[in-house]
Amino acid sequence: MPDAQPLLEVRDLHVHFNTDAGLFRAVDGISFSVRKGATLGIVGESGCGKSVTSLAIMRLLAQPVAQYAGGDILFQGQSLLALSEPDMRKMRGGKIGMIFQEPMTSLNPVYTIADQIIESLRAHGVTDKAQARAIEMLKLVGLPSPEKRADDYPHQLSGGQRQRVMIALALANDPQLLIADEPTTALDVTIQAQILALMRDLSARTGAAIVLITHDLGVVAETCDEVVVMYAGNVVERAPVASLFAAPQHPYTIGLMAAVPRIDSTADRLETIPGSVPPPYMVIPGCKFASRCPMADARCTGERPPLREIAPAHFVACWYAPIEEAAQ
Amino acid sequence: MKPPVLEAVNLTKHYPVHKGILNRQIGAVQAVSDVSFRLMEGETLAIVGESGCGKSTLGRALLRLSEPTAGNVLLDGRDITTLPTGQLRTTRREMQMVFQDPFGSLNPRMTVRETLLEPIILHGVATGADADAMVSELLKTVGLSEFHAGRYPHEFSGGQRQRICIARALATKPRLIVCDEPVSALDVSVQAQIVNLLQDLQRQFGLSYVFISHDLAVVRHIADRVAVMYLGRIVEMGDAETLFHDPRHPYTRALVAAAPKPMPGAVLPDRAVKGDMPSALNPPSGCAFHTRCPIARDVCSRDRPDLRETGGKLVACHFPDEAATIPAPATAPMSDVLQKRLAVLEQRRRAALV
Repeated sequence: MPDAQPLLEVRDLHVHFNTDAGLFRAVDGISFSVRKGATLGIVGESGCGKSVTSLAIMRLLAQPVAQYAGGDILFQGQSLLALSEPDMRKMRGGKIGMIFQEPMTSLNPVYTIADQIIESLRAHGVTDKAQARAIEMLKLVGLPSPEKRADDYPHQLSGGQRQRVMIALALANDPQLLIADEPTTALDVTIQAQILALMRDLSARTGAAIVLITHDLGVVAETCDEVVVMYAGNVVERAPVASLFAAPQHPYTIGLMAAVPRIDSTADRLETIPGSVPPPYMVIPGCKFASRCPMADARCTGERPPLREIAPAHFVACWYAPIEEAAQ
Repeated sequence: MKPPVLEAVNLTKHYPVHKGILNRQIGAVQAVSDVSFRLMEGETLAIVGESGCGKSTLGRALLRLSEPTAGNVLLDGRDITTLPTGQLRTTRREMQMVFQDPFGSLNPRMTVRETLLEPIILHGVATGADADAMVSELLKTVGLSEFHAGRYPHEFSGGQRQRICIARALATKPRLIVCDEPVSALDVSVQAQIVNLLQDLQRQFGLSYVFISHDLAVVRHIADRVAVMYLGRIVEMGDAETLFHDPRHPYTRALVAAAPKPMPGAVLPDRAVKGDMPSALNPPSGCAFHTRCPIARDVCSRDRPDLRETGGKLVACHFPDEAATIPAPATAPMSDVLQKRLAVLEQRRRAALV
């Protein structure tokens, strides 16, 4: 079976930061995998470790402050952590593309957009007709009159156009995996809708798998096949998107979904999750959500629940899921 | 009948653009043009639109934080547009502002007590021990504790900082608060807490809010009335309920359709809005939206439609009835299982309190 091996597999990954204030376990043992051509969403609130996860996959974390403290990242069965730096550099922008949140700051202001795409092409060995290929990429991402705009500088483009250029840049070398860290967060809703449609379309056409990191459950629902929910450096739930939204299992996921304001809801009050995320330096042996969870008891604070399969392909890290049965 | 707490009459704010060695004016950024509305006591008016539509400029012009180019602002029926600076400052006691970025809008070198005391003392709300008592009271009102008073802004999370900003706005006992994207920088669960807090305070003190936001779902929750802005003008304004139920301006429909819904597999409507917003320095002729509108005709690029009463709302569109036929977006209610489990959590929480 050629598809048995996932394209990307993250196995029990731990990433720690050594800071003056102590050891910060930003990513505390997470596992997930992405199939070829699929879109995986990683969702969570600020500080849950979702961006660190994406930077860890790309090996873009500054060492020695950041340390890989355990686990492995496998791309097509090969460990990315074992690669030499030159080999990793070939991987970045080659087989793995990345889109960042800030289209304003992730393009170089002193080069034209075509030059930046050509640089990436040349770095990965495409020397022939690089200019034509760059313009072709700009056309692919729907930049209006690409031949004329190719010689524009980033400041001459709008936010949505810059994000299109970022996507062109990330896709220039036909990557098999695209990591998109909050690609539409800085954009207006009508532009966001355009960019999400573009990403869906391109992924269908090129067969690239996508890891989409976002805080927006609406974006996840519209874009992803599978979702990983993170809380304080842990994966608390992992499920196919339909299953997650129809029947969220973890009390955190339930609270998060209920807190999302809905455009068609007239409910008087928004649901909230009382309390706040535990301080990052705190060592918590049990479930990290226990301090905010009404289901929690001594077992939850003492012992971390493992991810277990509660429905087909639906995993949850909670001792008491499904909670309506535990409550009886 | 009482006059409205706030009334804007043909409010306009243009920023001149100069160029060349003679520094001649070559044009103006038409940030806000001809905006009129009334805000009653205890009411929330949301101003909605995308970046560059002029919503923040409007908020600042309402408080005269930037001077309007034309038009008037009336606070309790009294024109404040022409007030001299001294009197304006006294009037500011009645109108306060909460900004988007809770990290940038608190002085990092002032403790929370100092931050809250400043408006209390400057406006003569209280002095001495009374002022200190008021600080504690304000902190409790916004859900913080007395011991927070001695701390500095960096010791707080984003949500807590926004609570401090709200406490500061409340310090002068205002009647009107202009909230400029107050929850946009916050996480979903924290955002919900702040939205609920704002609603509680409104009930408690009878506050009126101008709530500026780009997020229609948040607006749906907090607003009584909604004004949608595009390129400096209000294109649709009405009761929140009718506006969301039956938006009549193609732009409003596009905004509602484009907002991502937390429901997988929903049929995505054809999001007919193409391209970017044109520049406010040189807005399109006629209806400013005609360059992106799916139902635009010749007349739209010639004549600018006025705000007219249509279906219980004010709509600035030549074809509001046709706009109503643009497919409406799917709705995304909470699933049954989600509601059931939420009820379990809620029950547990209540049981724990007893």
